[in-house]
Amino acid sequence: MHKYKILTIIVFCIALVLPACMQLLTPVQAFSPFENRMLAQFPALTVNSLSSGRFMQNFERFFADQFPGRNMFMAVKTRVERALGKQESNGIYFGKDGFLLAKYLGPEAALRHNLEKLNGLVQRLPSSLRLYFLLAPTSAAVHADKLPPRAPNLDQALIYQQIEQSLADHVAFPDLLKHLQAHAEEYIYYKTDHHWTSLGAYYAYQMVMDWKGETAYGMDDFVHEQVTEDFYGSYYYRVLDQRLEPDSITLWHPRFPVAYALAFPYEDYQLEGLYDRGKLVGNDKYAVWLGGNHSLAILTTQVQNGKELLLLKDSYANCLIPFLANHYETIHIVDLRHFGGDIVQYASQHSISDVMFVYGLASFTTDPSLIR
Amino acid sequence: MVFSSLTFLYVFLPVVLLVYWLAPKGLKNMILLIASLLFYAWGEPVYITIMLFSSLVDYSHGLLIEKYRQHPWLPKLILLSSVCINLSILFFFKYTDFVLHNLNAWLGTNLALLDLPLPIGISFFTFQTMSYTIDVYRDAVPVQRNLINFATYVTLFPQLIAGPIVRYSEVAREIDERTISWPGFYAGIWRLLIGLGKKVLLANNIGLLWEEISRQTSLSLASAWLGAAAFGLQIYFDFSGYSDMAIGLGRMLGFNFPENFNYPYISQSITEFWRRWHITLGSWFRDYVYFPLGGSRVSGFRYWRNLFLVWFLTGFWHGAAWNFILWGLYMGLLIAVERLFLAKLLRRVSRPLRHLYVLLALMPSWALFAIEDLTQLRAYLGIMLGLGGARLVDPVFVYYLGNNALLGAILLLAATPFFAQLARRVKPKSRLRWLQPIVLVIILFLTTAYLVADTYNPFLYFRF
Repeated sequence: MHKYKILTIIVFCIALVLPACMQLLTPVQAFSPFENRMLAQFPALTVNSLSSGRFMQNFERFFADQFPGRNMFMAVKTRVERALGKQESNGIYFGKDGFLLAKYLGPEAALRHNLEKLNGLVQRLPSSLRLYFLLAPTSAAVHADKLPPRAPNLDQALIYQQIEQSLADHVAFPDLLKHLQAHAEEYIYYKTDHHWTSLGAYYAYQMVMDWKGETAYGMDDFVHEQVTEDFYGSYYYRVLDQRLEPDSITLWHPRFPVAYALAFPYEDYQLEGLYDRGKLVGNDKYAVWLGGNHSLAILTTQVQNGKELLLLKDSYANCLIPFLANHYETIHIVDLRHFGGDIVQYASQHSISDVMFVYGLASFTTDPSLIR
Repeated sequence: MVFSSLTFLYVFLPVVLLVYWLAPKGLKNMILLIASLLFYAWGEPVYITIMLFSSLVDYSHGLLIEKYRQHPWLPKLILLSSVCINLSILFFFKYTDFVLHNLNAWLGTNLALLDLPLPIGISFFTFQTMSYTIDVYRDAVPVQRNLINFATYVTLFPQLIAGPIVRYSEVAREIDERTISWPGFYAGIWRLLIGLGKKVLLANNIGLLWEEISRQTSLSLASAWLGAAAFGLQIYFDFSGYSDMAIGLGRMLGFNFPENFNYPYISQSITEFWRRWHITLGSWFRDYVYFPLGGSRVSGFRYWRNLFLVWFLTGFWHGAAWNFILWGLYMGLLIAVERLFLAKLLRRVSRPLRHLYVLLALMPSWALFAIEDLTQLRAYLGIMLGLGGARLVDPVFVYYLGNNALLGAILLLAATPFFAQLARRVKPKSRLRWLQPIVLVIILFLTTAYLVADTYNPFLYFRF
C-alpha cells in the first residue's frame, strides 16, 4: 500500500479518537459564556431513562455541549455560511450596518392562546381600572430597511390589526409599530439583541403617557449615562459571528429629585435603586435593569399621587420601568411566566388604579407560556 | 443512532472498530451483533425485540425448508408462513393506522388508532429477511445454520436503518468468511466521509430552503419549482449519502455491499432514472414481485397490472400515506408512457432535451413525495402548474435564489460524476495524492462544525 494511504488511515484514526480523549481529560463545563447558556451535563443513568431512551437523547446533548473546541466549531460554521453567500443563519438575518434582525415567520397558535388568556384576565379585573397593552414590535419591522434585499419579512402591522380586533374593547392599544417606525433613524433597537434601547423604550413611554392624557418628562429631564460599549445580545448568540460590533447600553437617570425602593417578596435578592451594575461585567448585560426578570417585584417611589400600577410583562418592560416609575407611587411588576398565585386576587388586595401589559411581539405570538 | 451524529462518529465508531479489529476471528460476528444491537437500541430500546424476533423467525424457517426440502408441499407452506409473519410485522407497525384512519374517514366509524411509533428501519430489515427465506426456498443460497451469523446479517448496523437493502445472497459468503484488509479500510474511510459530507454539508443545507418554502403561505410559481428542486436535491444527497456511509462502514468491516445510487440526475429517461435511484429497492421488487408475476413477458391486462402493482407497492413502501402511493403511481405512469411511445420519441430528440424532460418530470414527483397533506399537496401542485393565479415570480424567490446560488451550483455539480472524474484524473504517482489526508481532515472538520452547531439535521426515513 502506498504511503499516502497509510497516512490517510493514521490521520483518520487519530481524528476519530481525539475528541473523546480530550473530553475525558478536561473538566465538564457548566456554563458557556460564548453562547450565554447553561451546558448539558452527564445524564442520570437509570433503568427508566434507558428504556425510555431519555438517557440516550440527553447523552447526545451532553456530548455535543461538552465537545472540545465547541466555540471554534460554531464560529467556523458561521464563517462557512457567510462564505457561501448566505444572508441568514439560525433564523437571524445579517442586515446592513452590522444589524442582526430576527426572521419573523408569523404568529402561531400561541397568539390566540395568549389573547384569550389576556382577555380572560381583563374580564375578571374590576372594570374601574384603566388598561393598556404595549406590544413591542421586533427590530426587523422597525428597521426593515436594514434587512437583506428582498428578504422575507412578515408585515407586523397585520398582527397589530388582528390583536386590535380581538382585544377587549376597554384595553387601550397604542400603535407602537408606527410610532417607532417614525424614529427608525435613531438608535432605538440594539443591533445584536432583540430588545429596544432606552431611547426606544422612552418613545414607547412617551406614547403611553400621551394615551393616558398625561405629560411625559422630556429627554432633557434625564442624564444619559453610557454604562457599557461591549454588549452582545441574544441575536449575536444565535449566529456567533465574531466580526460584529457590540452594542452600547445607556441608562437614563432623572435630573429631578426622586428615589426608588425595590422589594422582591419571593426571592432572596436585594437591589439599591433600579440597577444591578454587577450584571454589566457578565454576558447578560441587559439584566442591568432590575437584575433581570422576577416573578414579582414591588417598586415604591417618592411620587405622591395615590396611583398604583400593575405591570404584567416580559423583559421588554424592564427598561421602560425607569420612566413609568416617575408617575406612580407603587408599581407591582409581575412576570406571569413565573408568578405562582392568582393575579386577579393579587390585584384586589392592592389599590391598583392602572394595569399595563407590556410584551414583545415575537414572544406574544409564539410563546404559549407567556400568560398563565 | 444515526451516522450523522457526534455520538456515532466519535464514540460508537472508534470503540466498535477497535474492539472488532482486535477480536479473534471467531468472535468478530458476535461483536458485530452486540454492536448492532446497541446501535439500534440507542434510538429504539424496546423495539429491539422485534428485530430479534424477525431474525429468529427467518433463521428457523430457513432451517425447516432445508430439512423438508424433499417434501412435496411443506417447503412452500414454510415459505408462506415466513412471508406472512414478516409482512404482518411490517403491516401491523406501519400500515394499521393508515387503514384505520381511512376506514374511519369513509365509513364514519370511530376506531381507535394504535399510535405506535414506527420501528426505525423496519421496512429495510423485513425485506432483507424475506429475501433470505425466499432464496433458501429457491435453493439460490445455502442455509445459514449459525444463529449468531444469521442475526449478525439481519442486524448489521451499517445498513440497518436506511439501506441499501442488502440481500442475504449478496453477503452470504462474507458473513461466514471475510477478509479484513487495510486497502479495504482505506477505501471505506473515503466512502464514509464522502457520504457524511453529502448528508451533513449538502443535504441538510439545501433542506433548509425546502423547509422554508414549504412553510410559505403565498408562493409564486418560481418559488414552488425552486422548492421542489431543493427537496429533490436534499433527498438525493441525504439518501445517497446514507448509502455511501453504509457501504463505507461495510468496507471498513470487511463487507462489500451493493451500490444503491449511480448519479440518477444524469438520466435521460425515467426508466433509466430508476436504474440509478435506490437500485437495491428496485431490484428487490423486480426479483421478488415483478418477475414472479410474469414481468413484462405477459400480455394485455396482466402486463399493465404487473407494472402498476409494482409501482403502487414501491410508493406504498416509502410511507403509509396517500401521497406516497400517488408518487409511486406517478412514476409508474411515466414509465408506462415511456414504454408505449415516449422512449421512441426521446431517442429522436437531442440529449439536452432528454435531460430536460427527466428533470421537469421529476419536479412534481418531489412535491408528491414531500407533502403528505393532500389539500396542501393539491395547492402546491396547482401553483407549480400555474393554476389558481399565483404570481410567476416574487421578490422572495430572488432572495432564496441569491441566498442559495453558490450552494446550488456545488450541489448540481456534485449530482454529476464531475468530482469523481476530477479525482480520477490525479495520476497514481502524482504528488497531489498527498493532498488526500488534508481533504479528509477538511471534510471531517467541516462536518463536525455543522454537527456541533446542532443545526438542522433531520432523519428523513422514519416513514420508511
